[in-house]
Amino acid sequence: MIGSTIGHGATRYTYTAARQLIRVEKHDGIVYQPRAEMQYNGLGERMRMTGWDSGLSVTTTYVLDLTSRNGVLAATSGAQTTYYLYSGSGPIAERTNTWTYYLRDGAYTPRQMTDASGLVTLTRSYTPWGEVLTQSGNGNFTWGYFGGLMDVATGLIYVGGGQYYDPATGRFLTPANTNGPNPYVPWRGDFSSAMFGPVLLGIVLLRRRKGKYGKFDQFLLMTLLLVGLSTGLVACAQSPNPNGTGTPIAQPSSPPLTDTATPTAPLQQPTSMETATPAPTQTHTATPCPPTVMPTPTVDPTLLVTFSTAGTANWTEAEKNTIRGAAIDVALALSREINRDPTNETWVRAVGDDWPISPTQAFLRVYGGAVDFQRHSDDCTTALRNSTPPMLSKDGECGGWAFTWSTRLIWVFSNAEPSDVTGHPRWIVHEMGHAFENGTTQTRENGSTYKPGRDSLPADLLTRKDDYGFYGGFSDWQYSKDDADDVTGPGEIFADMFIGWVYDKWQVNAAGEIMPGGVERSNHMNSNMRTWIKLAMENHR
Amino acid sequence: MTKPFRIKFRNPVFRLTWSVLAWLLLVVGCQSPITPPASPGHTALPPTQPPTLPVSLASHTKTPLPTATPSLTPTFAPSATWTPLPTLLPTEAGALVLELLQNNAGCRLPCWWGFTPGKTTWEAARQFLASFATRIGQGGSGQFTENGIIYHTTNYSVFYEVVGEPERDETNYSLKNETIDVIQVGSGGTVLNYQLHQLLAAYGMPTEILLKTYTNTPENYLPFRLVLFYPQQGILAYYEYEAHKIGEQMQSCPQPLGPRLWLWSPEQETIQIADVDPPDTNQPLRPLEEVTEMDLQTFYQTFKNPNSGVCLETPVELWR
Repeated sequence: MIGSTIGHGATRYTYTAARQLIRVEKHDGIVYQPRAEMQYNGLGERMRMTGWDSGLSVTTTYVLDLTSRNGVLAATSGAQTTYYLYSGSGPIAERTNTWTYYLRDGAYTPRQMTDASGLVTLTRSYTPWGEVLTQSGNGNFTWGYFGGLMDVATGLIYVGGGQYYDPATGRFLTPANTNGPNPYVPWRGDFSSAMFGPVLLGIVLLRRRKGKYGKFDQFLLMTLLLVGLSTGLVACAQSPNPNGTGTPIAQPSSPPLTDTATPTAPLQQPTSMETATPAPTQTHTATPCPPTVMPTPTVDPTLLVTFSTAGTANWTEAEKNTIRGAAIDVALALSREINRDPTNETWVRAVGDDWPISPTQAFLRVYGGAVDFQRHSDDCTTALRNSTPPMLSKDGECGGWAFTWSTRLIWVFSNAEPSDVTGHPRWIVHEMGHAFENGTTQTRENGSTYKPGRDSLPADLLTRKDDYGFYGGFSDWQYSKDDADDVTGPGEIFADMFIGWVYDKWQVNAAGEIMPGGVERSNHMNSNMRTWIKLAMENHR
Repeated sequence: MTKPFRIKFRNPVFRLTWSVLAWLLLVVGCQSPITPPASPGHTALPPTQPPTLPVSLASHTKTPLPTATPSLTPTFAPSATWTPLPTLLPTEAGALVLELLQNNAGCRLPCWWGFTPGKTTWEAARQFLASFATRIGQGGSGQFTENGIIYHTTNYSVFYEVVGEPERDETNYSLKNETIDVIQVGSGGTVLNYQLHQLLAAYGMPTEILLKTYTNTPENYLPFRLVLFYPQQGILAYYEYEAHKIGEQMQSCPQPLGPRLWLWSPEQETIQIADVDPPDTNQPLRPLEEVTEMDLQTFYQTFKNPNSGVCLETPVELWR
């Protein structure tokens, strides 16, 4: 344990043998009171933190992007989840209820925060060591100096890799478990590379002074200068800034195992990298190395979905982006489900895919290829009366936004205006739930077919009364009113449960605890999706 | 325990009366802060006023820690535990439920069926509920610390049949250290006594009224959601009606439907709108005054009259 003088205001830090900070306490003049407790995963990244204030505790659980080291993708406390959006160089926005954007300086420290309209809502300045100097406006920065995560409970800044910085002292508490901005190890990159150029230059100069190689030395000198300079720059780019003014959180770790993407905030927001609007960067402060901008590996949404039209219809770019974003969410959920169980490796390889399976591979295998969204200028009634085969009788009517024909074809009707599509990405996921179910179709011995997703639903789940088990109501987290009384009801309920499964969102009470109906739906999906995914993958072998 | 009574009293009215009395005797016998639940043989005189149930000693208010995402921490329950303990015949259970829905065991909200949030222990409630529930399911559990006291939280849903209703109904009980903290009542349980005009007449003008609607949905159904918030009384009512697009207005007329109710002790708990309407919905709830031409007083005076014939209107453009 390390501590300052015992007495009022003293801080006590508790570490594990692996030098991970697990507890912070403050002395109140009588005893030490807990301020925070942290838990880490096997890679030393912080997964959970509990903070105390006035005796009340709040635990936040983090979803991390371990492949790109972008850091925290989402933070959940109770029923509230905040999603973070990144550019290649670090966090640029966050969303709890609405999006807010960071305006950062050249050292990637957020200086201002804006709302979605660009209005500056919060301004902050710092001392040279990262303490808040002045602040005006409303709200709070999640990210602080170095682009690190600011822990209000402790006053520390978490910079990733299990490492904390204390702006009050201008010191890091621990060395990093991976490359990081750490004064204990000032240059964690390829030190030899960085020194290669100057050393060679020195050798050449020394040799030239002896005149052994005459004019030839000038050519050698220039060559070695170039080599030295380039290797030095490479080392510089690959290493964290020694003064911590680089981009610690955006550092790449080991080569990514799978492609990945930032999960979307599940609501009418940019859902893929290409739709994200980066916040403008502000003035630059001096840094020894140019900022490292490492692209985040992403799912290429153009591989997942295609767009076609019928009649005079057109897709808007905003619609396309919404659909692509929803497809990415589905792809991430599919690969997550498959990869979470190591015993899946055998059958994943058996169907010819790599292990661990990438989101793109998982999606394309499950759906048998890209899913085509076809925009119709006709409304639902006209399109389905005239379809081949006709899906509506001559006097039949429908008001639906879409019809999913197969695993890979979804019609979208004029009933859905562009703002409906862009405003309801979860409805896209609902339709992809139908498409998924189509891909799992099985044939009985008598030749009839069935869909295991809907057929397996227990009677208790064939209801929507009071949104039973669903996270939200119709047009929020459910996109049908059908239930067991209707022939199509179970299929619609399955598609809405597919939304819940993709985002892992189920009905909660006022305290944010999952309610029994949510437990029931969640358990049903979590215990069966692996089997259904296998069925779909084998159907598309 | 109940069999001799059934033999003795063949008249269903007597049976019902005895069922209610037996329950009241049971819960009155639990009036000690940390007393274990009453034994089946416990006897007492029936109360003449809403029953008082075991009181939790804990008293506290939530003070969120100013972090990026403040809230309490849920712990996911890996599986639901169903406890089917019916001890009444279906007809008896149905009659008892009907009696409770009609009279609410003689108590006023936020008391529900004699259970008072912040006071009644779950064990006392469970013993009574299990006598007629079709099943009881447990949801997620969690733990938090407040003023140095560790609180364990969990929630149970109690399912029951309502005579004449095609679908079962559900009431959820959120517990804090085994005491009922928040009660969430399904809409089937409120249709008799808590329709819009009834709630307004009985509980007065709400502190806040919010609503939201949609102008287009994937089916020919436009929801219209209306929230009446009584924070000082520990009541939140969430109505869902159907809306219609008429010209440039979204219109919805109160229907004979019950709300979902959230009930809590205002002295011991704080419930906010965000607790009942998750922030990640496609439309936020918005204050009545912002989206209609009505103010709270006009709304109250208009809709406490069941025959007002007035409908709520809000401009379509606000909900696109």
